[in-house]
Amino acid sequence: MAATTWVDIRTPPRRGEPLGLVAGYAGAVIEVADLDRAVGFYRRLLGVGQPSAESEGLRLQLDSGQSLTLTRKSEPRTFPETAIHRALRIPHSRFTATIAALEAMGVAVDRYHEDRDAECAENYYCADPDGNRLQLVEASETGIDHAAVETYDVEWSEVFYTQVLDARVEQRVGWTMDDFARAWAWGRGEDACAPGARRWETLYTDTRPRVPRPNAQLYFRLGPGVAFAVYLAPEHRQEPPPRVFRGTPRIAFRVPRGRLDELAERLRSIRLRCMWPSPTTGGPFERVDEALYVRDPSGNFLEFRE
Amino acid sequence: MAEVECISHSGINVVDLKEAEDFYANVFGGLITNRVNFNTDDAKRGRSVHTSIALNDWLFAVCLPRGEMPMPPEDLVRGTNGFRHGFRVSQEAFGTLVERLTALEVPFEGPVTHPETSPVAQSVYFKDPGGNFLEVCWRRDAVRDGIVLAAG
Repeated sequence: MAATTWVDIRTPPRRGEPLGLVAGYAGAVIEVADLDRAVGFYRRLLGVGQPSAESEGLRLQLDSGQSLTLTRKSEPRTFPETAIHRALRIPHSRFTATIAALEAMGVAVDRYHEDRDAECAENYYCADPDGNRLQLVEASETGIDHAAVETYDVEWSEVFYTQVLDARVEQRVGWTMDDFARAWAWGRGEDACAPGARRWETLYTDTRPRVPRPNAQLYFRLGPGVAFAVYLAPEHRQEPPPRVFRGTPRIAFRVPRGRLDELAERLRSIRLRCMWPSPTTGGPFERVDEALYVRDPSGNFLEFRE
Repeated sequence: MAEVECISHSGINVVDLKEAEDFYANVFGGLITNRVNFNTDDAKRGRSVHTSIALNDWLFAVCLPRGEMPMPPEDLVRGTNGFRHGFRVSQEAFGTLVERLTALEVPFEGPVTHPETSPVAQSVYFKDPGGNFLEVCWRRDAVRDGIVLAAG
């Protein structure tokens, strides 16, 4: 077993190409209040077949081999007003028709934009009947393109995703004077930004009641073509207990065959003082049925499987 | 009258926090100690956006300004943009720093040799990426007279 290495913002960033411990998205688990209603919505949106039943709910199989699992909760955690979203790939052949069908169903399709350069042209957004926010990305087949979560501490998130999962920071927002200048345009109503990309802030050094600001964001590259975004949460939300590692909503990643143990060892040996280890594994994760269930520093649930 | 012991820290404006962090880490060996307004509590309190960098026992806060920031001419490496920070190093470290500036392709002027009457022997002048003028020097009086200079 490798010796424990403690990492924080003072730890030099890792260089070069990522280790490739994340090969892609394996799926997502989202919470909904009405399973039948949600299945109907996603089948129409994605053009996929009947779901299969599994322990957590109903699983829709996507063309990409990924899955979207709908789990029923009486009060689903959907966070429609935040930056949290999943980007779904819709085939080129029916992208336009899908947008039209959504609008015909009375589903609002928004055209606001995010700050990530690579997504400037991919600005179609809607919400499912429960309020889970979705970005619709034109692609060759249905699948999960990327996901965005919130963090209470951007620094700890950067340390976790770059030092432990070996991601690279592709883009930062909220680090430059230009980001702050752009926020003023949003404040004047001249720039339609995605929810969570900007915020109003009350400065204790300013007599104005509030000023517009960029909300800090990090865009990670976890592996080739695997983008993942973290936004600063402008408000505290209820976090799961610190030693709960498997929960929903959850993002699942695919690990290359034979490398799950390597990832488990990194989680055990590269430690952040803000993360509690599991008494059974010694790291911030649990292993169930050949999958690692991880809780990131802000309580976002992640899953890794081969 | 306050009995000032020394200057504790400086706050300077930069246009890009990450670029500034990397500059002070790579050129000066600065240690990033914390960033402010990158967590929810700071955001709710409306704190300024800055990074604190420790240079030995000098605390350097690089801050994002709220408005436009005047930038000096790009080719001007010695001057003031309102102020200039001067840092002292040993004679040995001075040579190393000049080599590092060259390796990192940071434009600089110098080494400039000062008159014998000056306690400062040599200086190099350059700017950080935010247009802040910097000077690094070594003290001949420390070498000549064996003066032990405080770290601060």
